[in-house]
Amino acid sequence: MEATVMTGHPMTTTPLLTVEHLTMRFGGLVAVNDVSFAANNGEITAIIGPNGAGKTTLFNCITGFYTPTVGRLTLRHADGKEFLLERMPGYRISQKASVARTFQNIRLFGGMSVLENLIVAQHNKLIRASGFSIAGLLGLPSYTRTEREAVDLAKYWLDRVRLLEFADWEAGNLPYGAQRRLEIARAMCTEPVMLCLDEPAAGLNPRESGELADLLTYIRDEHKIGVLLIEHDMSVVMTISDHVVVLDYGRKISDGDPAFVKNDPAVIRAYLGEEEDEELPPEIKADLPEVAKRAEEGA
Amino acid sequence: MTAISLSSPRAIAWPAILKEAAMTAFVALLLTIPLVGLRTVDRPTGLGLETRWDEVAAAVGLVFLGRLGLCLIREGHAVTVLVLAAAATAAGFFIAMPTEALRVILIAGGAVIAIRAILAIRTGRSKLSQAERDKRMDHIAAQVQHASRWLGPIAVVVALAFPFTPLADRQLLDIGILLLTYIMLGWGLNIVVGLAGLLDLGYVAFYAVGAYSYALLAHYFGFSFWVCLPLAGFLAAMSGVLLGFPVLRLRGDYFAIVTLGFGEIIRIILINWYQFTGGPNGISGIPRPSFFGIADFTRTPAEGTAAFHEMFGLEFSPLHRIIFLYYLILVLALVVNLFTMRVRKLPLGRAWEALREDDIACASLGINRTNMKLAAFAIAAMFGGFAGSFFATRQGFISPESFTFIESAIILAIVVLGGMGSQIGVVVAALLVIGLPEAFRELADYRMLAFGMGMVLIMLWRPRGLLAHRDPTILLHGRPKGGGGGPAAGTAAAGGQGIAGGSAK
Repeated sequence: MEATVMTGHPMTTTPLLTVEHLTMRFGGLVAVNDVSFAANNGEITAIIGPNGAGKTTLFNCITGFYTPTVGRLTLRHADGKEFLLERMPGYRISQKASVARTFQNIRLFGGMSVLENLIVAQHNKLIRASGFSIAGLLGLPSYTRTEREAVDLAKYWLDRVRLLEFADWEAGNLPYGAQRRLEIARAMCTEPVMLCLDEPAAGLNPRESGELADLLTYIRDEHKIGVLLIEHDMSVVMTISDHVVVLDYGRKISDGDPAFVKNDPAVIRAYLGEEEDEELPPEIKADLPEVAKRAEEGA
Repeated sequence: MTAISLSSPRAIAWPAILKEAAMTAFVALLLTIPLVGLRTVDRPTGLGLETRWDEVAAAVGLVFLGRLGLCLIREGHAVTVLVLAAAATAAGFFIAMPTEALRVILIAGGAVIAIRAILAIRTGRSKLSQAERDKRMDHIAAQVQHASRWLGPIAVVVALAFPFTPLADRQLLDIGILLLTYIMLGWGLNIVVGLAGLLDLGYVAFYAVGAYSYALLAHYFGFSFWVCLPLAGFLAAMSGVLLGFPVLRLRGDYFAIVTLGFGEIIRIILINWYQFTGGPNGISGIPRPSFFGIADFTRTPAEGTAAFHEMFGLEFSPLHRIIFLYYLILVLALVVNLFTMRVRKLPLGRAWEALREDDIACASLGINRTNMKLAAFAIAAMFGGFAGSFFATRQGFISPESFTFIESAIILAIVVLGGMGSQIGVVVAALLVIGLPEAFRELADYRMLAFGMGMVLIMLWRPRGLLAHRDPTILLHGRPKGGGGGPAAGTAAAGGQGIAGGSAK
């Protein structure tokens, strides 16, 4: 904290993640095209867009599953350390740069217990404490202590996602909504500075979505980390995000706070379609030229 | 409901039952004509065919009767069928049959039908549904897994005491050593296949590296077994790393194929580099192990070394060395077991299991997948190497023929049959896969038939392996009292309950 005082308002002046001119090509297909934006610490940044807009590709670039064709991804820790994510191999991004993620289709360790899922998430801390298994095989106290701390952290997050009583269950046997929550808890157990969530509300009912929104705001406010969120559920996005980035066909078409994005004609066009549509009722058709003009002015 | 009241059997629909039994017998006929009916024999004039129609007829007749029995159980006459099936089994045991094949079929068939009948009487159903059977088997697996905490030490004590019982003759000790060798190999491979989830079809390569390391080091440098044992383990581990580096980026089937290739490469190098390895002739005269370098197991040891029997004031017996070898492999196997049990509770072991479950998620959690997999490979290879050098010193002679693909397949069969990742499963499966053919050796050719039948039954009843059950390595709430499956028993019932409990929240 002391280090950040020098720069005045670090939260607004130096963003946590800066994405500059990110482009990802798969052969002839340009999945992400020259996208730049910044995500701040202690804020929820939502990335939205129609299906196939390149949101998950963008995520995969940030979390190291893809190496971007062009562009720079800079992550700045509060202590001033910088990481160029596009140059780091996949697992290093979580290990060194402390970026955690969840997946669109849940990827839990289904055959392992809920608690084990959270312990595995603290692998790097634990394997160092276990002396790369040698101290652990000998049962040295230093490892036992670290493991106890790991269990305490896991318990804390299990309590947060209300899965404490299911700690010893096989993760694959949990109901769907609980699996979603567990995946978030697992990501948080890596003690990240940025949490990337890929459609965490997919398949949840409205009540569960509400709980999810509460959990995400809790993570943002209490743990002061940046949250990057891909989501289709607009009720979640619009209530909790501080900043929304809209992608369409791999390009960024809008960027701002939720209220701005909601009224941006370019966004409306991307979601509702172009004016050439013959099926439109006449009263909307009459309005379209004006909307388009406003959109051009806006851009 | 499929429940049938046993007290009031329905009128038997004889035509339908006879038709069903006849159809089954016909299928059996088609199968047994080529498999049993014809046999090639070596005649002075060349290869000839011998026919065995009486055996075909007997087999078909037995199948007919067996099917009839199953139908009658379904119709509610389980008690009658049980008596008849038990009688058939007893007849197989006590009455001399014209051929051994008939005996095997009679005993096995009678036993299966009798078990069916007992189940029908106990449950009141003719047949359990697949899901119900799975649930029961899972329950049994969980029980065995929990019982293994006291069963394991008892087994170890029995194994330790075994050479001193009057039962222990040369033959049984040899079978014991063979069994323990495969148990050790199974436990070693279990690290790679069961824990890390990497299908390794070339495990025998590391066994070969271990065996040849010892044989060649002893042959060229005259190193003793006790110096070579760690060296062999080290060299095998290095070969594991060597194979691992290029291969670990592959997944699934591709990975399996490359490991298969590696196994063959090692064997072919051993055959063709005859100036160094002796080629297909192998290496003979491999030194036997000494008693920790202190004493020899010979009647008249070489100048300067003590004799084991003189040192302990015993009568000389060639059995001493066998017993020593038995204990040696027992200790080696237990070391592997102990290591695996401990490492499962460590980050390394948990990372292996996580890799097996989902390796992409592992990358997202910052786990260095390559290092973890290499560690699994190297450690399993090291244990394979230990087993290999033990094999070399026990046999005194090795050749590439001992390290063919079929060995890898047998070890893998032990791991898969036992239930991937289950330590006690490996023991049970090794008893079945290695012990059964040894026990039925007097059945000659038919022991492989019995073996095959066992495999088919296991795959039908328990496709995930006999004792496929996983206990969590760490529990938050402790084990619930009153036995039964653990909280994460992984049964369908637990799953259903979980959903109910979760949505009620």
